[in-house]
Amino acid sequence: MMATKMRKRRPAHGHLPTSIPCSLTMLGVIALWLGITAVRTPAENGPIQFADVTARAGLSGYHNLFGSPEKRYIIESTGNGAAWIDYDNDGCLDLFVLNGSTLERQQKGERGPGNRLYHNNCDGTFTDVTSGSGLEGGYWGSGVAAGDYDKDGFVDLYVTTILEGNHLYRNNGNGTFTDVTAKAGVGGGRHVSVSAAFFDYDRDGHLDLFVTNYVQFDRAYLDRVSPYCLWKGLRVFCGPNGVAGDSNVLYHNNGDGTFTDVTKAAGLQNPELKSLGVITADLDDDGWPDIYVASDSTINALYRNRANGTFEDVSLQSGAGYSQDGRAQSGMGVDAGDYDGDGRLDLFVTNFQDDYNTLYHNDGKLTFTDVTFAAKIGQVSFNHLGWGTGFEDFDNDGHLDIFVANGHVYPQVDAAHLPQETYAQRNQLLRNLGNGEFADVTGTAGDGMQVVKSSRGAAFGDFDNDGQIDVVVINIDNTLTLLHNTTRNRNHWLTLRTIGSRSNRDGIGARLRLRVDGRVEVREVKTCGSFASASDPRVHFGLGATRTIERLEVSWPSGTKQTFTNVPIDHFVVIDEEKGLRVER
Amino acid sequence: MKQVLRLFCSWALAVALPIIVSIEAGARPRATQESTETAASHHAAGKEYLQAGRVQEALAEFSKAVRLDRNYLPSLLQIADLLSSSGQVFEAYGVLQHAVSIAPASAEVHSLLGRCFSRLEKPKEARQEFRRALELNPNLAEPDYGLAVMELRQGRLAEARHHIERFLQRAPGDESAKEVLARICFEMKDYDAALATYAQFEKADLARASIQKEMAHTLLAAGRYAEAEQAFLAVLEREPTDRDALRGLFDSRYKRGAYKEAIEAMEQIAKLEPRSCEPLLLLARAYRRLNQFPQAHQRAQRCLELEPDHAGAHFLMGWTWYSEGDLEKAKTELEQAVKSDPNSIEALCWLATVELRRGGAAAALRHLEKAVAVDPEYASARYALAQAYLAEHRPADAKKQFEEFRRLKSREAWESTASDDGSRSVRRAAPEAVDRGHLDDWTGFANYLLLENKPREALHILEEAQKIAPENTGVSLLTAAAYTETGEVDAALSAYADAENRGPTALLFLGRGTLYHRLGEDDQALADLRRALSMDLPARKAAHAHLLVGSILNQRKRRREAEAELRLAIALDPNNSSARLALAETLLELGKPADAAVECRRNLAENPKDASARLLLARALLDEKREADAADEITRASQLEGESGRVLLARGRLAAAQGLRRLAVDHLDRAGQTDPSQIEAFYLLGEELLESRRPSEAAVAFEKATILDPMNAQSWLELGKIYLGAKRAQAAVGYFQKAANAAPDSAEAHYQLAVAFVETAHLAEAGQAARRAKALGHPSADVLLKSLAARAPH
Repeated sequence: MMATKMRKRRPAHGHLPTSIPCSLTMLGVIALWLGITAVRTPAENGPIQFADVTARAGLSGYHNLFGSPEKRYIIESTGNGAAWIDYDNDGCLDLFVLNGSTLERQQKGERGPGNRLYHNNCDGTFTDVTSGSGLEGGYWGSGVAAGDYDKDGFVDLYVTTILEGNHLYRNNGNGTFTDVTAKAGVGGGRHVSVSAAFFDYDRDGHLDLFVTNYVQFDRAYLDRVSPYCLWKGLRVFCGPNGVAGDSNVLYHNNGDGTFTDVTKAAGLQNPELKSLGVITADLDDDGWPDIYVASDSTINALYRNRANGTFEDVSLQSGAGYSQDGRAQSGMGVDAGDYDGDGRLDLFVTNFQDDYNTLYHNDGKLTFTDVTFAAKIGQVSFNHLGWGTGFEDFDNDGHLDIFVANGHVYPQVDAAHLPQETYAQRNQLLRNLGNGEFADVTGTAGDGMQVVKSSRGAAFGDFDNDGQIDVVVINIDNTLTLLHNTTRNRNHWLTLRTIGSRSNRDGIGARLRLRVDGRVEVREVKTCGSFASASDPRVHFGLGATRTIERLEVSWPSGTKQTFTNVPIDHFVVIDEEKGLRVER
Repeated sequence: MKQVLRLFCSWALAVALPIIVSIEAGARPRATQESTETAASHHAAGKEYLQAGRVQEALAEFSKAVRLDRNYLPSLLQIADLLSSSGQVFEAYGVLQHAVSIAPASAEVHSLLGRCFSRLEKPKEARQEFRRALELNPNLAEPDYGLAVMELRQGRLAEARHHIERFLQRAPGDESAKEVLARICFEMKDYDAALATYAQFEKADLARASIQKEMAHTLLAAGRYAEAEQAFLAVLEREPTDRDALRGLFDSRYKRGAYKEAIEAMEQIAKLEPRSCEPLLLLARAYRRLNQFPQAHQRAQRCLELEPDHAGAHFLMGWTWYSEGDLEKAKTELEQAVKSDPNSIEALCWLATVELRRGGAAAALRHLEKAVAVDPEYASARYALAQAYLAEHRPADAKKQFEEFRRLKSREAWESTASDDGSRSVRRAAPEAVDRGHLDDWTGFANYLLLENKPREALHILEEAQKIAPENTGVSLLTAAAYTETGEVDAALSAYADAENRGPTALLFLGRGTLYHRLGEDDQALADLRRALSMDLPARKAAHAHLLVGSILNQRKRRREAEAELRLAIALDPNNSSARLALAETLLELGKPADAAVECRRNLAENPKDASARLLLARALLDEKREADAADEITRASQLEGESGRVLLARGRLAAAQGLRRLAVDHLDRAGQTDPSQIEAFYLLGEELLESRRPSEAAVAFEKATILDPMNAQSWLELGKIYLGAKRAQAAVGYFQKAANAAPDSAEAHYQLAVAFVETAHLAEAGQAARRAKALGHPSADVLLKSLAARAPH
């Protein structure tokens, strides 16, 4: 039972006084004991904690289906993502979860179990409202991107699929969605599409769309030439080596409900890549969003936005294309965040078993250094296979931590009975120590971090609006996991939602600089990143013990700049490009 | 040659038969009246003894048969068979030379000759004889077996397989043939077939440790690690300290990811070899893999206690410290690694990484530049250097390095992302529609499979690639390389020919030249290798080409040219230990022992267990009259590989230098018996026997040397002198003529020939030879000419 009751609304100044009279303390304790605590009782700075609240939240009904259980082909291994979206603008994050299918069903023209849309009841529970939403799917879903592409104030969805063409769903504003793929021209054809990202690459105020494609898949050929491959002596599916790559796609939003494929014109066509994850962010601080693609067994691609509608491939010289010793890794999930507080967005990429997840420090001017081992991340990731990931300040101490969803690709690995290598794996939580290093705190991070499943997508968001970031994890061929952040500490926070007018409606690409206690925390508005998932578009800052924010600077994609002082802490705040700042709750 | 062989044959019969006949080992099964003795009857008696397993008696009977009728072929064949089976190859050879002169159309004779040549390491001659035997009698089984073995040694695996399978059709129960077949399949990387062959063994044979181990190794090579592990465990049950099996156990466990269990196996090896660094360093790596850094450090430290300058141990310590985040300790250890081995690429690259982390960009740059200079083809070093140049604001230099990196990466396009196993994929999917745009994928993938030692899988891919682009040179080249690996030589040569038609490239000539050299076709090899070198070859590959050219020139005794080639090889690839060794050998032949010693020591610094380097060093020290040091090196070599033929040869050489004749003779004699292909052993034995005033035995030794190398002028010369001394001038003439033919510029050979001609009263020929000797500078030729002139009729 949760110790804290979920609240839709908070008092204007939600922080508590530092000293509490004895009697009130007693009352607080009793209230806690009775389980009807009205206010959150402050505690000492405890460790990051997650609780598995899947069942309690009413999400146990979802069961993922993604290919055959034995995974005969590589395309059956990638898994699904999820999206945190507030589709009805009621202030509480709803959850959209993809589902897959099987090759046999595809062949027979049968439907898969379908996607799920869960409405957040704003009380810690969700209601399945899929039926009639228009998002049912039934195809072999893969990943999702979220963004208000038509600037009508309601978040839309782009769903990628495995070999069945992708779908653009326009939010009708009434709890339903319409598939407008054909009109929009973003179906893409029969590809193995995975992650996608809405972003405004040309800063014209409309959200464009970038789609990653993984490999070209020819089942008949694979069956003929190679029924299986050997990995550590086990018979497993073949790939990615030996399977042809596929080019990613950039669609330009024409502003009229249609898109144009500008991949080639933009300089982004590269059929050698085997892309799985994508992040769009201004990595060189020139005001224009760049693209970084995590690619499996090839170079990770970094494209510098030239600010003229085209991109320059700077993958090799950036230092973020390969590991520090020039080796291609298996790049699955990716996120960008300023983990060391130097004002530049760094990159984190998840990789395969027997390899490390890579932390690339942004050295400026689109150069990166693999600092994985210096950050003490290398050695703890070797025995895991990472997918969805995110930089989030889970304990609100002002430093971005890292969450990794883990799970093997070969179910056969369990037959080898290797203690350090299993199909189902624990996810990982790496706490930022504030000195450039991280500590693996998974073991002490609560029962939610002890869940052992083969995980894939992970989406981050504050679903209960308590100022702490929660996580939903999609587990392949299994139920999902909703991790509620139950960390107890005195740290403060601030969550900001951007509303663009000249810029895109979501404010995606807006750069927020928060000056607090003499240091600067930098965030960029985005929904993309992780793996095949879309996260809460709101920007979350952990403030530590800080009580006052010196300044908040917002740089919009349109070029508009705003500066705010007197920003309240421990609140949800809206930054409107036209109207300025207001407290939402 | 024939004349010599006849002489030798006479010797063999003359020498061998009395010895054989003198052995009387009990009563004959049947009494025979003296008066009814015939060759046939003795032969029959011999067969009976043979059937009863009484080999010596059988040999005696066959010898009696031949004494009664020296042309009695059946007995000659039996004698030759028994002699060669008992290791008396030269003796058997002599008998067979007589047999072939009386029965040139006998398939059995040619088959046995093939066997002798095979044992004497003369593959061309062996193949010739076996093929002749099959021509004469296609149903004879042994030639197929013999050809299988010869083709296997030459790397013609497909042919080897064909012959052994033919043999097995006629002798399906022959276990040694099955072993050969299994081995051939293993070499062809057809592991399933190898394992299927083992499955046909009788249970009793399967239980043999050697077979069990071979099966285990085959399972390991086939990637069936779990089964390999069980197979090695079965071997270890019988012999718990079998090092090879323990190592196999470690490998199979490590490859399947059972690192803890792998460590257990390696710990046992460490216990067996407490003074060896190798198991300690493997343990350190394995512990590191498990993130058990203190244990990794402990093992590396233990190695350093044994060998304080061990570069590998310092590297592991440094690398592990780096992973733990202790940059200072990492720097110290990696610097030590570089000091111990200035050419250690790994240490240089990681030291550079540490320096970069510490903000020492200039130092990092130095290390990386050195790394790239040491190994220009190490892609990671290029990449790191490029990044370092960028950090130092040298974009032009960075660009160059990136270009090199890209070029190297495209050649190893499919480097695995998994660790040791690396086979996350083997096959390739492709759209059914022809897509030439992806041809690079295919060839890159095939290249990757070849690098992963999976040539059969590569051929699969290349078949498909050929359908898309049948005229593509790269596809043909890769196909040739794959067929070379599977031992299908004709197919490989055909693919090379295809590629050459489309456009000759350096890599084509290098690949084909290497293959020709392996097949012993050195004229073609030389031509191809020189062509490759005249084109643009990357450093390491050019080094390889120079090494092969040097080897061929050495075989042809063109030592100075060989030295030049080998020096070029080393300049291009300083870590090429084979080139260093070959250079050391060449320098010894050129009379430069000090230089040879330097090269040997360089090799030993990298690998103290290099027995070949030790023995060459011993030779060099001996040439420098440092007998005690030479003895030490020979002892070390013996500790590494026991009393092998070449160790015995080295001992013999040492004893000869010390004037210990009897000991020298003993060692050299045993060297020749242990390894009958060592021509030098026979030559030196002959010399020592001469010094010991045992000319008949010396003649035998020199004869053996000439059988092994008909162009060995010195041996012919010595034989001539022996026969001349024995007043057999006519025979001496033959030998001196051989010497002169083998060494046309040998003044001594011509002079001795002249002397022998004088003895046989062939004065005109003597004069001719003497004039030649004089022209070549022989000091006594003039005197001889004057005496001839005095004898000439007025």
